[in-house]
Amino acid sequence: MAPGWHTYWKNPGGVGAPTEISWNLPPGWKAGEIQWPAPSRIPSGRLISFGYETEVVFAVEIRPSPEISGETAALGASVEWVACEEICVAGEAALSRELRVAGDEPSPSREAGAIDAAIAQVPIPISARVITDGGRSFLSVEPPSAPTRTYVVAAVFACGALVYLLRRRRTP
Amino acid sequence: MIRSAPGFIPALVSTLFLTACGGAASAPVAPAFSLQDIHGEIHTLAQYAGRIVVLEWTNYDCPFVVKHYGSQNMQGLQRKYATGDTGVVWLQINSSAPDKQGHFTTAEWKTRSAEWNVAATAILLDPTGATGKAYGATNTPHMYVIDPGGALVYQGAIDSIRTPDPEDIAKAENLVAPVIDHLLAGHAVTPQSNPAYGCGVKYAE
Repeated sequence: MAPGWHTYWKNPGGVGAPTEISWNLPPGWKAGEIQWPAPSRIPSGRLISFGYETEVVFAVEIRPSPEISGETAALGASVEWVACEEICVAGEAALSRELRVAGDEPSPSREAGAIDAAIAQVPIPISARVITDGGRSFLSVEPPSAPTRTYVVAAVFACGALVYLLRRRRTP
Repeated sequence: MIRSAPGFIPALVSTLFLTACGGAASAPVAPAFSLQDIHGEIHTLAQYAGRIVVLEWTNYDCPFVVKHYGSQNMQGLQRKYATGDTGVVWLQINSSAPDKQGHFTTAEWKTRSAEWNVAATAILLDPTGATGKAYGATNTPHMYVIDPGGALVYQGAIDSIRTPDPEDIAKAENLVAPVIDHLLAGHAVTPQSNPAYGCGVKYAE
């Protein structure tokens, strides 16, 4: 994305809408949900949004049919997104990729590193609760019992309720 | 071990309690306004006392607004309520600052609203953003319903599916029409508040 532009997380916050993918797969193949990397907090005016700047990779697990005939399999996806800078535009793209059906041990694709990095940025839910005391609300977080890494904790609320709590490994 | 999260998180909670989700036991009084329409006529909230007033914050170049006009959804609601014999007043309001997206000359407003067959009672211009900020309008579209007594009984989204895709309109629950229908039937309406969705309002910096 050009500088200043961003697309949105599954909870977009004050502006925008999440990216959506609808898949067109060979019979018997199944696509999972988008594995959303932890978003950035993006202020726009008085609103806070959650999304991605520069570049984002969405990993989606595709389960092939147990029986594959042919030497290739065509995967199609139609993708819709909203990108905003100061203004917002709706975008769509029809994407396709023909994969070779390998009988031998598969080797990592060119994109394998980017996919691994994206999966490493997917938050893992941890336990937390909101404590209300005298009109003030506090977020209480149970950290991992033996933290071996540095975690970034972010919480997202809507209508006074905790919607998402995230932890994310700090990029080494 | 339990520890408190950083200080900004409680602040975020209380902000959302107050602004996005309301939950007030009694409806707030709708802020007064006096705004010029695209033909140069002044409209005040006071002149519509005793009538149901719908406010629709808009920006014709926002894809979430285009969703509801390209599909005829918003015009359909305007025609149903504002041009029939229900007595409902439907006011579009644009709070784009003069150098921002969605700010048009009056000639452009006339052309663009005619192209879309906009059936609102009037299109009001709020280039200073004062009225938008008084109502806390954050998005386009952002909808408000004011009862005949001047109480703000609804603020929030037009419907329940928060995308720019017109195909979602038929699957969505419209959140504004039932409020108007209740008021037209003479029922009391419990004030409702939810976060609007769409583009941000293009206020002056």
